[in-house]
Amino acid sequence: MSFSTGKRTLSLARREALWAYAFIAPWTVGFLIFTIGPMLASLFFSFTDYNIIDSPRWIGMTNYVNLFHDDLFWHALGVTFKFAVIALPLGMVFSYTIAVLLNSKIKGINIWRTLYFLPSVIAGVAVALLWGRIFDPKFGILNPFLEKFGIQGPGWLSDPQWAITALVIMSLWGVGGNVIIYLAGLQGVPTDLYDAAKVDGATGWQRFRYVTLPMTTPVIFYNLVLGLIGTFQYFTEVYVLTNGAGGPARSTLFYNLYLYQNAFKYFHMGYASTMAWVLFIIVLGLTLLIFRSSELWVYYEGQIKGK
Amino acid sequence: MQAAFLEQLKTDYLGIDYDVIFKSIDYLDKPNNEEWIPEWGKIEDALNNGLSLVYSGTEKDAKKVLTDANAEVQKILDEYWATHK
Repeated sequence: MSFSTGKRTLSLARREALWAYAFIAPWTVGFLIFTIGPMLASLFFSFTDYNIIDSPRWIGMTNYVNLFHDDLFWHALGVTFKFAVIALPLGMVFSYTIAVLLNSKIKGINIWRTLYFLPSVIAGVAVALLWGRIFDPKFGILNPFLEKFGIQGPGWLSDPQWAITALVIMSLWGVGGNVIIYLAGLQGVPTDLYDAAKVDGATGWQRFRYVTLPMTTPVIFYNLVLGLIGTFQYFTEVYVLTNGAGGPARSTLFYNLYLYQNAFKYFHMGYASTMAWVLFIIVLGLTLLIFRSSELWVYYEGQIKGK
Repeated sequence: MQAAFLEQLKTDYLGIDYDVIFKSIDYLDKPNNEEWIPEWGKIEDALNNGLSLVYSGTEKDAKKVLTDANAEVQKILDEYWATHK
């Protein structure tokens, strides 16, 4: 065994560090220019009156004060929360159930897994156009299908009472990404735990309740955090389906859509930047809340409680 | 020739104010003749929301739709003029 001198080791370490910096430089430069730069710029714009054409004019906290007096801001926030409250838990349960089913030993399992994952690789615009056709009350396939069961289908995207429901249904179709993550989590559960539970006389439900579910809580937690962020960033589908208007009767005026309208339709860039930062604070707050609550319900194998 | 054509039109189709038609030619390159209205995008959305309320059957009281739309547009304009004097 040979030991290098202190000087040589330092030189090697420095060389390695330089190589490391060189390799991470493309990402770091991109992150600084395209993420941190625009974030800081939007923070500055949020304190200005800026319409793209004229120079930004400093107005202090006016945008923030106006935002809280804006009826449409509260409406858009309400629509987003309503969607989140319905779509997020439903999507989580739906994708988890499919993952559990796809984790069983059935014939052609790989084909089933591919079929369920396939919709999630389709771009949001294509999905929206596709579902727009499906939901069409006159020419779509959903309402004639419901009629076969004697159900008079609603005007899914033309009735304010049903528009959010239609978007929730559409979001459930694209849960394939979550299913794959759950599936990976389910396959990581040690089989000896199931064997031990069987020896103890646990039923199928008890094995699921006391082995599968606790062991997959870190994956559930991961999907919950990403799902929450994704729900509050919901934009593409609703923009395409409503031509950017958030109709009918503003029933689908999501927060991000209203933000987009302010930025690129009304050219209130300062106000839109304020909305972006308020959204960031809301999502950050909710994410921290989930992180704090995770101590109560997320179980990590090998974790020593209290450490 | 143009004057003769106009006279022929006035004879064939009575009771039409041809000034309106000929002067509108000046605006052919400006399809959105309300473009000078401040906050046009916001106002357009407010008015479209009124139409959407009627078309979707959410609101059947036309007078209420008009009153609400009018109030919303007025609020937008008031806010605009408060900062653009």
